[in-house]
Amino acid sequence: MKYEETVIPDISGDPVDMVIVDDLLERLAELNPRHARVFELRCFGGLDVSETASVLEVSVATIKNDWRFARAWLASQLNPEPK
Amino acid sequence: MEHQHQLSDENFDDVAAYEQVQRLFMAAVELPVESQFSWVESLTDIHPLIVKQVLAALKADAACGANSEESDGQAPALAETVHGNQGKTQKSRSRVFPPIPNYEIIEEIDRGGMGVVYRARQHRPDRMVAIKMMKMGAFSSETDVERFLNEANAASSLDHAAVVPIYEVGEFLGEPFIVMKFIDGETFSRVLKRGEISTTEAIQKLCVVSQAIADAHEHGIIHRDLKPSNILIDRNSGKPWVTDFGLAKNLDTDASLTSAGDIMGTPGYMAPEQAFGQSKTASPSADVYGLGAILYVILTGRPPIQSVDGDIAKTIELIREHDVVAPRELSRAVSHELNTVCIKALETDPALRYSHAGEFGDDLQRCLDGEAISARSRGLFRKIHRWTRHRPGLAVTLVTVGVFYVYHLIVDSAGLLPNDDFFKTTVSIVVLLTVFNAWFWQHWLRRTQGAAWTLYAWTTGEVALLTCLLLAGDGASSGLIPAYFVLVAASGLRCRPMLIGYVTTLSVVGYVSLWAYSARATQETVTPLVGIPTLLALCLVGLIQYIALRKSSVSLESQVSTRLDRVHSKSQ
Repeated sequence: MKYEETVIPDISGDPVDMVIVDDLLERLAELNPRHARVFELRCFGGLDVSETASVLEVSVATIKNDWRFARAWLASQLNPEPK
Repeated sequence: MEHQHQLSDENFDDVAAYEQVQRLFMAAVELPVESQFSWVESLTDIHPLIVKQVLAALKADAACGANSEESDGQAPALAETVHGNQGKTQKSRSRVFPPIPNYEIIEEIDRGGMGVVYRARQHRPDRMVAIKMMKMGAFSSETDVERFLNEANAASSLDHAAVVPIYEVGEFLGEPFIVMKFIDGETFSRVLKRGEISTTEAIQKLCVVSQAIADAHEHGIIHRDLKPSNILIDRNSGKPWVTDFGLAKNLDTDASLTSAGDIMGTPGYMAPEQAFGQSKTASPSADVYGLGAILYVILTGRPPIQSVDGDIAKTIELIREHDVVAPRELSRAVSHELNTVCIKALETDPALRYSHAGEFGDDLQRCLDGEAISARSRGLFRKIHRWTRHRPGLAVTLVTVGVFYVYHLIVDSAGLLPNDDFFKTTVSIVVLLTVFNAWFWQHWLRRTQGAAWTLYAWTTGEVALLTCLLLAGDGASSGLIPAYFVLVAASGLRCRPMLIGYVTTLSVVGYVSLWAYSARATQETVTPLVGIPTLLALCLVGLIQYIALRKSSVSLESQVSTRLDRVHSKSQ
């Protein structure tokens, strides 16, 4: 499993290391391009769910699911072992 | 994002894994928060790394504040998103239930090697149901799952007042489940165990069950796994309900062997032809056997065959040597009629059983009403046949001793024997003791259901008695020396290679002591030219019997090892 190699040690303090987040987003784009787009649009673009849905031309429910999982996945990759 | 279009082959597995993680994650978040983790952890057939990632994602999700609906409106700050609120991550983990759509699982009722039974509330229509979820491990292949579902489908067509109706048959995350009417009560086996039910009352319930089975047979559906734990007794009305119709058909019986075994765990209720792995060809008479087995429990308090804990060899032997001990032999309180009905239902040969579950139920009802039953108790020939089947060692001993004693009387009356009263008295005593020895140990063999030590004690007695007889007679030069060979050869019939070795050793010791005795006490001793070949032949006969048994499929040890081999090779 490749994830194991890319897991990043816990970085506990702010600000978030943007380089690591960028790497993870690239990785996410390989795994599921739409998830990565949803995350970018909502996080960096500041769009809300319905705006994201209209940009990507999918349903609001899909965006909600994508967002929830993409966020959880990224966070879990960033903080492999939450304390 | 130029990576978007560069999904190389080596990435493919990662993509599939990611998708699987996502699927499980989405299924898990539908569950109540406290049960998400344990549900994921219960997915034993998923790769551990996947499970680990799902768990990590769930933790992160909980840390982000799982109420994602509320955070929809405004995009959250990045730091908050990815770091979450870690103070809140410690969630209590409790039991988790599969989130089957349209059902809300309330509690676990029962759990067995094959699956779990839940009590659940169906949303539409709003009612209480029981859901039986089968474990994937219970099946050996996908087609078996399909056949299982088809079988459950067929059983759902049954419409009888004493058959638990099936509401829905489906699959959830690849695991088949069956939704049934929820019966508020307990299993018949528990009711019987508590002993608060009279025999008459229990038999009445069995009558109802028999009619339900008869009805099912008319619809071409065979239960295949009738036993008290598959009958539910309604707490309020006391009505019996038969459940799990036909479900045993497609289960992987070898898999059940490994989990200390449904096949071996309760072999007492399984028809002999089923116990030999022919369950896929089982006919209605297998169900008649099951009904008879339940009657047997009602009458005697134990199944017709008692499993021997963890000893597969003994249990196989019991099933193979199968004719059961008549209920009346165990309890004199059982009436002749009930005894006859029970025996007829439990015949090893399916053709001798009731041909129809309804006939069994009718006869049972007649017993209760005090009317004459249709089943005839067996004729004299069948009774003798059965008696000898039950006591093969005793029967053979009686015949052998009888033949030799008749021979003894003939040569005696012909005046061929020396006029020696001591010898004649010894012969009579030894004959009586041999019969008593056989009777006593046969009795113990039945009492202990085939404990090996009784066989060793039995054969020890036989060799000792023979040696005594020869000591009183002509010693090592006696014409009865071949009897040692007979004993060694006969020990092969016990299907225990070790026993042959034991009897051979005993016989050699007996012969050598005879030889030594006659060499010391009498003038006319056996020359080594006779004695040594006799000893060698004795050892060789033992060896031949031993090898023949080890090679044959009836050896208990070899049966067990091949069964275990099959299980092991399957699990690899």
